[in-house]
Amino acid sequence: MAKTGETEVREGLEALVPRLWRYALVLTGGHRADADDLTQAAVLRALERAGQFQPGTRLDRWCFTVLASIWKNELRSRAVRRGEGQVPVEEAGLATPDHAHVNILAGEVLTCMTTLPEAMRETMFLVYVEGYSYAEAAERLEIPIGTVMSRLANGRRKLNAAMVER
Amino acid sequence: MSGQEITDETLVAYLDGALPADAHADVEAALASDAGLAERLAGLGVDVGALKAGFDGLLAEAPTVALPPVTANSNWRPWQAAAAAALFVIGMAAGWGLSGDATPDWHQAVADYQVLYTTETLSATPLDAEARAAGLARVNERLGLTLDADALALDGMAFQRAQMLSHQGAPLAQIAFLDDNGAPIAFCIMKAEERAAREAIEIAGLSASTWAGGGFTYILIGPADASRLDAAAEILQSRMPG
Repeated sequence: MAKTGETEVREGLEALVPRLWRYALVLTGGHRADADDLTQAAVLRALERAGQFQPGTRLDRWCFTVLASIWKNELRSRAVRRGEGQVPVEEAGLATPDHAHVNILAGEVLTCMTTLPEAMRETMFLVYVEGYSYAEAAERLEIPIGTVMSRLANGRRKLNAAMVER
Repeated sequence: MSGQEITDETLVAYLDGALPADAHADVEAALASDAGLAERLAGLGVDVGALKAGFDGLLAEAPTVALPPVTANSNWRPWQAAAAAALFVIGMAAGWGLSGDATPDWHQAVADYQVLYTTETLSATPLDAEARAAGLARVNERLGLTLDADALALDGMAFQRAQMLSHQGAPLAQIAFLDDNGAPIAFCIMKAEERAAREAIEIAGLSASTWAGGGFTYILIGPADASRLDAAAEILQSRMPG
């Protein structure tokens, strides 16, 4: 018997939590408390809306859309009101000694990522970390494909410059 | 094609291997003869592998969320699962960086939960009077209260449902209302020996009124006007033990 959307969400959601949280960290600019809140909210919302998930489609992408929509429509304004929308790089949680010792370059790239504006950071993350094609990223972000490419160009240029400075 | 006709966006697609073969070859040919273009390309260079590795290293640091188990015969409803999942996460909240806050942690836990509620959370699964009464009966039994629909009748706020949650192992009653603006409001009760005068506060961007006495501690909380919420809290306070 084919699985229902609800069953697929229930069975797959838990394993996706680390990736959802990582995306949440990107959106919150490395602010871990906000990322925790956002992840929790996304898990709840995904369970509530499980009936809307189309069985056989990509659960990870669907959950990412749920998470990003909560951030954009509900939690971001709260974070910004608190004055925590931007976190100083040295306090940002993206880079920690835990993984910096594994790969120093990786840690530095992460730190540099937190300096990019949110839209650029998110686009870079979706394409280069989560493997979205340009077209998929455009659909997810509801922007033209040309905008995805210019965000990637700007993001690459800034990241390149930041890495050269270090 | 000359180098000036090649945009940075095209160079990105070239670096990402996303260009069709003929366009890829055009860029390659232009790079060989145009030093300015090669310089632009170098300025776009990012170690994508290191970027990916850095982000993959973060996965191990993610918090875990355990969803409630589903039994074969359970009549599962999304909001019940959501409530149970939230409970689990709230139980972990102390380790997630909420410490150092003057707000008593059960208030913070309730606020963190309530902030996730929307009108739809309550209106999508309306309960009939019998189910509402059954929820209240469970609350009364667990906490030793004698609440009924009359005690919860408020102007501009309609009682939706009552359920038992728990905070750090202690029972926590949650009585949910929708106000006439559609805002989800929660009235939460725990057993406590303390006494505290009623106080209007703000937690997690929500209005709240808190008080304690008569063996219980109370909070009324939601995204509503603070004075209106406190007026409702005053009425509830007059009807509750304490």
